[in-house]
Amino acid sequence: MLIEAENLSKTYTLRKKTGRLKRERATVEAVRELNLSVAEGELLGYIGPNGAGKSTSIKMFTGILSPSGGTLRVAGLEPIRERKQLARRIGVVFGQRTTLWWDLPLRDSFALLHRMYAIPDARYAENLKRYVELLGLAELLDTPVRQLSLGQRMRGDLTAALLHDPSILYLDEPTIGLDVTSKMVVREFLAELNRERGTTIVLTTHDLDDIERLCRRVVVIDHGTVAYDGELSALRNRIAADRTLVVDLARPGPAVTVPGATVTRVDGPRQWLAFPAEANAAELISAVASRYELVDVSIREADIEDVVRELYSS
Amino acid sequence: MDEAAARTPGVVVTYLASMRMWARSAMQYRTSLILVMIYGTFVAGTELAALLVIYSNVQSLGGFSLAEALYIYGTAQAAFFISDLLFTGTEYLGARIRMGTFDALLVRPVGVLPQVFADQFTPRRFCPLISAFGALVAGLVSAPVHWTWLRAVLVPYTLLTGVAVFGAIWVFVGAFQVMVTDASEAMNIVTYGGQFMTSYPLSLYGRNLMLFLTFGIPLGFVNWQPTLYVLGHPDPLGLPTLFRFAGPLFAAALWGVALSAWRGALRHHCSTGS
Ligand SMILES: Nc1ncnc2c1ncn2[C@@H]1O[C@H](COP(=O)(O)OP(=O)(O)OP(=O)(O)O)[C@@H](O)[C@H]1O
Ligand SMILES: [Mg+2]
Repeated sequence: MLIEAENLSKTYTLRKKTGRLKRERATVEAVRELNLSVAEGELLGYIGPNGAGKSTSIKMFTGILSPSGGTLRVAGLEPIRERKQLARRIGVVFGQRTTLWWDLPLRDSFALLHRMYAIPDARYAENLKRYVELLGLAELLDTPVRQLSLGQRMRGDLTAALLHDPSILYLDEPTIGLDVTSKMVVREFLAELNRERGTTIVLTTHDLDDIERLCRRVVVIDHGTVAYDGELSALRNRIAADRTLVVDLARPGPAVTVPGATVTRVDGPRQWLAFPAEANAAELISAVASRYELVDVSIREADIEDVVRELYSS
Repeated sequence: MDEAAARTPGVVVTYLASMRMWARSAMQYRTSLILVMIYGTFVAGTELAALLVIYSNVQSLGGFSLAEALYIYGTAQAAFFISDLLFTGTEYLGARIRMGTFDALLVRPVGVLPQVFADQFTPRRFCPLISAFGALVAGLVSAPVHWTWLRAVLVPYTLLTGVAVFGAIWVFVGAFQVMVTDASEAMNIVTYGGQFMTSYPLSLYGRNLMLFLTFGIPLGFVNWQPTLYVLGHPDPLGLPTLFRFAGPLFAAALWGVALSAWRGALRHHCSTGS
């Protein structure tokens, strides 16, 4: 196991100003009793609502924050105590903050990392060439980072995180703010990295498309603890048992009653009926049509977003 | 792996490499850098000019002639501004923590402190050294000192102990910043997609007053005593002669305490995220 967390917890203590001089202490349990193990070569989707504790746990995995409880081993090391050794084994990309030198060309930031990680020259040259090619950075190497677009910078950050061949790559919202094309490039790159190099990837994102395209295994974090851990397909089956029939009635009215379906939402003449995935949609439509005057119908398959929303709310 | 770990840069290489990056960053804005450097040199020069103006009216102040005053001013300024040049990056730590960019320094396989020392380095910091060394040299040349080997050695010695003591204080400044900065203020920026840039006053306190209080007092200790000896003045406080040579011990002790404060602060940061 590359990452092994047992009952991992993190409590922040906040000092809140309550009066002119008075300060009150409040605590936030950002992560509580989190259990997670990630094997070599996995590409893990690490998702959850805002404030769920994803970034906090990643900061513990990377040796930035020390846990308040539980045990944690990453690549056989104890993150805070063996911070420097761990740093050689991991790559980190924080989507919202670049680690590149703002005023200098990309090339310079890479050269600094070459030095700091003491990457052998041949390996550095080979990696740089490879990532520059894959991510289309060739023309940008001499551009100051401040002049790069968000998507270009993200590709630069990805390269920077990978030059030293880490075994684990952590990505905290790497696609935030990227356009469709850039997202595609990043996704394809990650898939290839995981496939070809066997790099273990922990991917945090609010874009469920990322997850759907990349990850087989998903871990859903909610209120600092694991709400779901398993195959993406099983997650979908588990909760997405329901499909939705959207009906437009001739006029507004109370929720319809038909056997085999339950109304989840009413908005004027439009109503949403949830029904099991294996039920016969045609029968349900005729059942509604026989009791109410129908103008239009449509069926929506549950997508991962519904699934996750369902999980978050339960 | 072990081989690579063995070649991992140590403190000095990390420091110089970071320094070089910042210096090159500053060079990207060449014109503005040059203008600011001219201005900085000029401002530092006016202070020195003020000293000269005072002495144009009096022969001596507190028993010190102009030449001696130049020497005293020169050593104090040079020691402070060399330390400023080398270590002042710790002052930017608070801002770094609030912006969430401190984390990036923690995930590199090198020491944190050398990266912090070099933070925001700019060649501008050389400017005050021009007038400082100008005064020092002028003082050395014109002061009526009876030069002996011991006195000659004491001049660089005074400077170096001064720089060392001030360096330790910059480490305290860093530790202090880590302890008092609350990263949760910045969490909004980080957590909610960078919609808000919080505005915060960079200096919450009168910087000059702080500098005076924190650097002035040890300065008395470290510079004053050997300076009195070089200039052949008796110590008005009548401290034992030994005190004049106690600087390095004092500096070493201060570094010891400062480094453990720094480590404590880092531990605090790791356990609170602030
Ligand atoms: N440095 C800090 N000090 C105090 N509280 C913090 C700090 N960092 C995070 N928190 C709190 O801890 C909780 C978890 O935050 P965290 O950033 O881990 O969530 P997240 O899952 O990454 O959310 P998001 O999807 O918004 O990025 C939140 O309630 C947050 O306000
Ligand atoms: Mg987050």
